[in-house]
Amino acid sequence: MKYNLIKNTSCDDPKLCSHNIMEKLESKLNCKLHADKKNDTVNGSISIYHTQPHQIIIEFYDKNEGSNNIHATKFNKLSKIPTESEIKKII
Amino acid sequence: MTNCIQAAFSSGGGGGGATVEIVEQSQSGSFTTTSTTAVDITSFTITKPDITDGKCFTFATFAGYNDDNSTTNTYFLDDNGSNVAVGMTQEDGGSGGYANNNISLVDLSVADGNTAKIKMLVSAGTGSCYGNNTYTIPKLVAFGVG
Repeated sequence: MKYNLIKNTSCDDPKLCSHNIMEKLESKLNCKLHADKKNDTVNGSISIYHTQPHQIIIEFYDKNEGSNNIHATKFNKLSKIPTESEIKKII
Repeated sequence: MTNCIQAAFSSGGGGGGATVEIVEQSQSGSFTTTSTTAVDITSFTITKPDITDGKCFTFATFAGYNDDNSTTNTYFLDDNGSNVAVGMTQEDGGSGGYANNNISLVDLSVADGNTAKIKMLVSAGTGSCYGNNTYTIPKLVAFGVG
């Protein structure tokens, strides 16, 4: 499931901005949207285009998937994938 | 600029001239991702020139940035769904360090009006295509001649 969202904000530090939004989502939704190590298990990803406004793409994987020749990470589908309105409230 | 180049092709050549078309896309902001599979870098897309029997030189230049230990970013120049050039940031390897690499992706192809875009993935952590209007502006350019 992929969500394309708009957030009316601007930032000076894209890396910090990305981390802040990601940490909110990970803590509130009890999920992992980034890999700390190459072989970590993740539930999805977050991509942000840091323009004014920001364009945010959040993906939750629809199925479990092991490491392969494309990605070393393992994908794990959440038991309950959050809705767009739930995500909007958090970010 | 297009007119100047076309004039250069035409001069002294008996008036035949050449068709020259340049398409350019500059990024106005940074793009970050945590995706370990390739994702489109938002707005980093162009339509290549469509010139009969023409050739197209497509290139992209930008700063690739990652600051998570022992991670790399991989960038792709995609031509209608096919990866035609690949570039990577160096693995930083330090504790809390970062790698900020100039990335150049280049392809010579047919001027066929295809869609060209830049995609990226990370091995772990968060990576970016760094855009700053002061000193680094990501650019994707297609130079078609026929």
